[in-house]
Amino acid sequence: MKTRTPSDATVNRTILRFGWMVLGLILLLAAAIASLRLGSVDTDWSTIQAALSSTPMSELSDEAVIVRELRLPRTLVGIAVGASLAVAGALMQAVSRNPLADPGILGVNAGAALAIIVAIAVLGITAPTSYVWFGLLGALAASAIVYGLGSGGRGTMTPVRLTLAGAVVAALLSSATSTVLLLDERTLDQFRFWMVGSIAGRDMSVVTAVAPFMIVGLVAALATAPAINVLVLGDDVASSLGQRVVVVRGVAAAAVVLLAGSSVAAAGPIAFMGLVVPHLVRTVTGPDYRWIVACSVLYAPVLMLAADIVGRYVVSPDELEVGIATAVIGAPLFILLIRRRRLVST
Amino acid sequence: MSRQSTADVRPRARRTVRTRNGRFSRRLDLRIGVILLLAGAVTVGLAVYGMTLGAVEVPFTEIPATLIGQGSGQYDLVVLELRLPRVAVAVLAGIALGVSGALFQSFARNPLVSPDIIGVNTGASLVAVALLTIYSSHVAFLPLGAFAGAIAAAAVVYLNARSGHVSPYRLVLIGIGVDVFCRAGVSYLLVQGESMRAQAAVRWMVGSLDQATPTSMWFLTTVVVFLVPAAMLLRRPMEAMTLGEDTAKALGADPKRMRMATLAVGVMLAASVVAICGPISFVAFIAPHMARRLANAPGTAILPVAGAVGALLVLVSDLLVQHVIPASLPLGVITPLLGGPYFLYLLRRVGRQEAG
Repeated sequence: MKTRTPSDATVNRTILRFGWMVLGLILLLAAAIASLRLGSVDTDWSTIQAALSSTPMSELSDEAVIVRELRLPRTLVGIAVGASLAVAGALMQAVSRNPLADPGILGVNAGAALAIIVAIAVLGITAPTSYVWFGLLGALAASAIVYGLGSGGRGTMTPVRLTLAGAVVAALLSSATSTVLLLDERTLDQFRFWMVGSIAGRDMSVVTAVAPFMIVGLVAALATAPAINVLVLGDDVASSLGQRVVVVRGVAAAAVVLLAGSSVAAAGPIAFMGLVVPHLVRTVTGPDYRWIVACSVLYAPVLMLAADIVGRYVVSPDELEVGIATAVIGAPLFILLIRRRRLVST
Repeated sequence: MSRQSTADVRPRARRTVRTRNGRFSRRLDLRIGVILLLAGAVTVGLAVYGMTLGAVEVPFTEIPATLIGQGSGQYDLVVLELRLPRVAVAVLAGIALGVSGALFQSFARNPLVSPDIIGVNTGASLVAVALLTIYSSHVAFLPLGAFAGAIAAAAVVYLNARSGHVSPYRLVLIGIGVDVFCRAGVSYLLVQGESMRAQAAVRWMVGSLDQATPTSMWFLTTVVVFLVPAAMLLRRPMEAMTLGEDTAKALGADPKRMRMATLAVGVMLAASVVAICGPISFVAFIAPHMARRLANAPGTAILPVAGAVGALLVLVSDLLVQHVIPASLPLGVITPLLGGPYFLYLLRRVGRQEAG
């Protein structure tokens, strides 16, 4: 690779991709600012400046308190969850070589859901901010089981075995979840609001709880992206090129669990982000996972925040949860996009 | 995407049956034949046994007599109006789900695929949950509405995926889009409704046989009698399709028509089940995998085995739900518990064998 001079086409492509990255950065900034400003209470620049400065709480106007206490954590959670889920989805689809795989296939969502159900039904916990640790614990435990079942026994762990084991474990866990929900109506009443997927009502403690996991996961994802480009060629090709397939797949799966587990703990299951956004990003970047991961980090939060902002207005005075807004707005767009594209199978 | 593996099948007992003049011949797979016979016998035995259980105990010998109208008459109502429909719906729904799942997995060449992927279950759920939560005065139309929702979602997926030809990959992606959209709609309805209604909706979405009536039994019988043989006829051209479109054409298959026929049969089977039982989607996903590992055969050869496994899975689950589990739980809660661990065992045992 090093001896070859890149052709004009490659250079142009790289410039184009950098263009997409810069555009993504600008859009992300715009979306973040809009997310701080817009909502049922209108704010102006000075309010936002005051809210983001170190002015003590007692001296802030009511609007500034809203921005600092409600909209800032909400925006941060939105950015973190959007980026994490999209990256996790992209990695998952690469590791399992299956366009249908989302992070939920590793049992992450089902495990988090069951742990939170137990928290509600047995321990009587009702505040979404206290769900975080249960969700994280459940997600990690479930994915450990999936990984153990998918890789143990005779023969090596193949993508097919991992995804099948994951699908079965997820079904088992959600059948336990349904049992509790059907027998205990009060738990269902609490749980259904979590199940939708929302970033409203989160405070800074949620952000600080999940941030370390997400940062480690993102770093691992970026670090393995070049290796994943080789891995998607198939196990045989990858190992003949000198790659330690098992290690790469293990690191990628661990990154998926950290990213998706902390996301589902913070915001509930948001299927669109993990399942559809990677496909959307791929139509722009092409099949290079370095760019898929990088662009996911920028564009997924833009989609997430945009959907969240729309959700604040469409059913006012209520709010449409971001889990619904992303799907209702995003899915038709996605279908249109797929219709118009000539697809290259993964 | 995983590729279908053909090289991993061990040498197997096959026998070719010919007529005297040699004009007709058929290759029989003994292992599949034995599995089907065994599964059939166990299913019939369990079905008859299941009909004896309940608040009114019916002697074992009375069942066959009552079924053919030669019984004492005192059990006619219980057996013919209540228990037979439920047992029959369990078996028929299981067959339909297993066959439909096998069709879809072969079609998309993707082991994670079930009829879900063309939106059948989520489309049905969207309509059904709307009827259960918001338009509850029209709840009588639930089976019809669920059926319509399933067909509508499948049609949306198919029409959007059809440009030039329906590639499985495009179909899967469009299916994801429709699925996510419908699921969001269901979530929205669940959050809007009162918690009582939400629970009824959750119950429906788990899937149960509580709605099994003589009418639904006859409906499913018609569907299975016509569509399962149709699926069996599709096996050969589907095998040709796995060799690639050009080879398939050379072998006399019409890819475009084949795809449409496969999808139509699979969707109709799954939609009929979801209309009556709700989405017991796990059966459609797991039955083909279990069949593939039990029969040790690749491709579409396992289609009848998938049906048999599906029937057993649903029947046993329903017997457990009715007579063993103390709380009143719907069937869909039990199917993963029943099929899941056994499948995981198979997955570990047949470690080297990839699923198609």
